[in-house]
Amino acid sequence: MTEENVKVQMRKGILEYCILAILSRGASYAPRIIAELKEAEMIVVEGTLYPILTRQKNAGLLTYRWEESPQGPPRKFYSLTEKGEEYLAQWDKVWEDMVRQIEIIRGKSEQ
Amino acid sequence: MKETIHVNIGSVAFTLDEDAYRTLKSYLKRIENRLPADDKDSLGDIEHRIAELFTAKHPTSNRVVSLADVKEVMEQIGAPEDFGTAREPENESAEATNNTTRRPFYRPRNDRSIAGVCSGLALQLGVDSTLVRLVTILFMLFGGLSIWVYVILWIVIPEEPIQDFNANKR
Repeated sequence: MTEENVKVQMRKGILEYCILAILSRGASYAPRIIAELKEAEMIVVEGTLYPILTRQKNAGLLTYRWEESPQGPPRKFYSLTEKGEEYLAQWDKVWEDMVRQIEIIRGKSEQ
Repeated sequence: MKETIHVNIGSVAFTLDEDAYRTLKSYLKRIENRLPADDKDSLGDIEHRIAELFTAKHPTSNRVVSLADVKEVMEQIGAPEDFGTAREPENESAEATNNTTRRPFYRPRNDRSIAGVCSGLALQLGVDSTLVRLVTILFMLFGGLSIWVYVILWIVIPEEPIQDFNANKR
């Protein structure tokens, strides 16, 4: 596995986590999720978000409803399902554990 | 003068320049080819987003979407390669040859000796027009090809429509 490959795989997983985290604050639609991810420099281009949303929806983590938009076509408003919330809680735990473990190891190697 | 095409993107009607239409169509096709086979939603979502971006750019309903608009949107959505690897090999050259075979049979205006029959034939076959003329003359002299064949083709094959090089005549 090359360094580039590791980065890509890690990014993918973390991106999924971030989308769930954004939606845990309330329903949102793709352009707004994109804006947040761009602000955090998680993604550069917009299109790649859509396949992830579809995958998460098919996995039962997300659901959506159509909502009229003041200008242009109606929008899909995504929100977390109960399963999605549980999944996010697991992710939170995994993430915190991982960060703590890494901190311990790195703290030791610095001494 | 440019031809425009009416299309429906994400259930919104748009008018696109022909080159813009062709670019957008192949772009969406290449994305579709990179989405997972069981993904039935994403392409529609992306189309929706494109419709939204076009609407934001041209709030009035009768504006024409140009190639520059399409390229801008493509940059924002991302290159097809960002969506992963292609499921089926993309054969751009095969598509290009399809395009030439679908080219309408015309008698060109700019390259003709008599009525442009040979030159139109050459365009269809993708060979040099001089070669077609030479073969035709040889067949007429020695192969028994009737000159009436040429006259009939002259009548049957339509003349190439006026292009923008003499648009001022319109």
